[in-house]
Amino acid sequence: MPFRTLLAGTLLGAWLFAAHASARQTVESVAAGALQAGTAPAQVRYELGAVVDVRRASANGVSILAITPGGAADRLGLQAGDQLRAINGRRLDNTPRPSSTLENALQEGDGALRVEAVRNGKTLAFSGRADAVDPAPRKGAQACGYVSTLAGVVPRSKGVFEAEITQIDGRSTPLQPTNRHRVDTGKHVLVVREFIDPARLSSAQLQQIAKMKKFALARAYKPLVIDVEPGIGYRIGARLLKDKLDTQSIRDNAYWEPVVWEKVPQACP
Amino acid sequence: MIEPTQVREQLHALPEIPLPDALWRRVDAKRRQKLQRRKLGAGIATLALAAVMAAPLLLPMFAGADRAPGEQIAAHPPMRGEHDVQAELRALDHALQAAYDRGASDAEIAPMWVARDALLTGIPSGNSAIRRSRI
Repeated sequence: MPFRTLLAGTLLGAWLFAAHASARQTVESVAAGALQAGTAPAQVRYELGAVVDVRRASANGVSILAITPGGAADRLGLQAGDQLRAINGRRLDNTPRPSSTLENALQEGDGALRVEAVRNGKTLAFSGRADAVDPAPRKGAQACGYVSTLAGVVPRSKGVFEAEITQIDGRSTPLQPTNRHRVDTGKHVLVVREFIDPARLSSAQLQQIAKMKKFALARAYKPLVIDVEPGIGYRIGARLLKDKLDTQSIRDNAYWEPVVWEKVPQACP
Repeated sequence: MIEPTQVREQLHALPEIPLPDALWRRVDAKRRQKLQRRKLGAGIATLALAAVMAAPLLLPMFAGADRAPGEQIAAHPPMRGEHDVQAELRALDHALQAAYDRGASDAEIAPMWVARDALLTGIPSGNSAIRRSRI
């Protein structure tokens, strides 16, 4: 066989393999741990144990919005409302990209935390240890589960309708419909959008819902925290609460709730 | 040939046959039974009609019964200990931070804050660390 034919065959095979892998990736989005860690070797990450608004930095730094109970920030004595000005010597005030600056500062400290914060106009210094987080330990094929809104037939007779998962653990899901999302075992936060059948609602109720959604936008979505067990697929839907279809309940977006309507065994490859 | 009038006269001339004493009692009893059966039928029909008309009102009760423990459909776990609440809170805080890291809009983030606040509201007030972290 001529060398050129052999080379062409090899290249074609490689291209087909890559195309197959790419197609599979689009069908099955890998969420949570995979998004965080990718394929890099497992290494300890350090966290502050707080929710920080890293979208913008002011002259005093970035705002702490909440403290995770028992976390590093809680142990240090930081409070919600404090402004983080510097961590491990890295300044966060007037930083163009506070998110990456904070992340780098935490990882560079190798577990040590030296924090400069502003509280009620006073500058305070804190020191201690960051939270060490092991990437999700892989337990072979059973270390993950799936969440889905497209699998199975939604039990409409039980008042459950179609839904869409818009975020998993704070990250947006792909725009194109995805059969199922792979997630590591453990707690996960899903944000769900309802697609309740309009035929089940009166025209007045539909008008009220449309009006509410127009103002609420993504606020009309609802969170669902699920504890993913290994090798289990969770089918998610939106349950219509028929006793909460009055004007005030619709205005409060209380007429539905996200639910797990079925759990099925699904082995992780 | 015998005339019909003659036949009628002969028949009229026949002696009256004495009826048994119990006959009228039996006829009366049968009539009463028939009336009772009619009343019973009407009662059953009324009850059936009432049940059909009340079905839409009773459906929500049965729907509630469908959601008994063991049912697959669940918005939240039935019982949550403090450990579960803490784990849920950590998951929510991670999700919130991830959303802020990617520059999500306030509207996108809002549902998770609602869930966090709801979770904290359900925690016993004795937990000062958690209360302190509320915003």
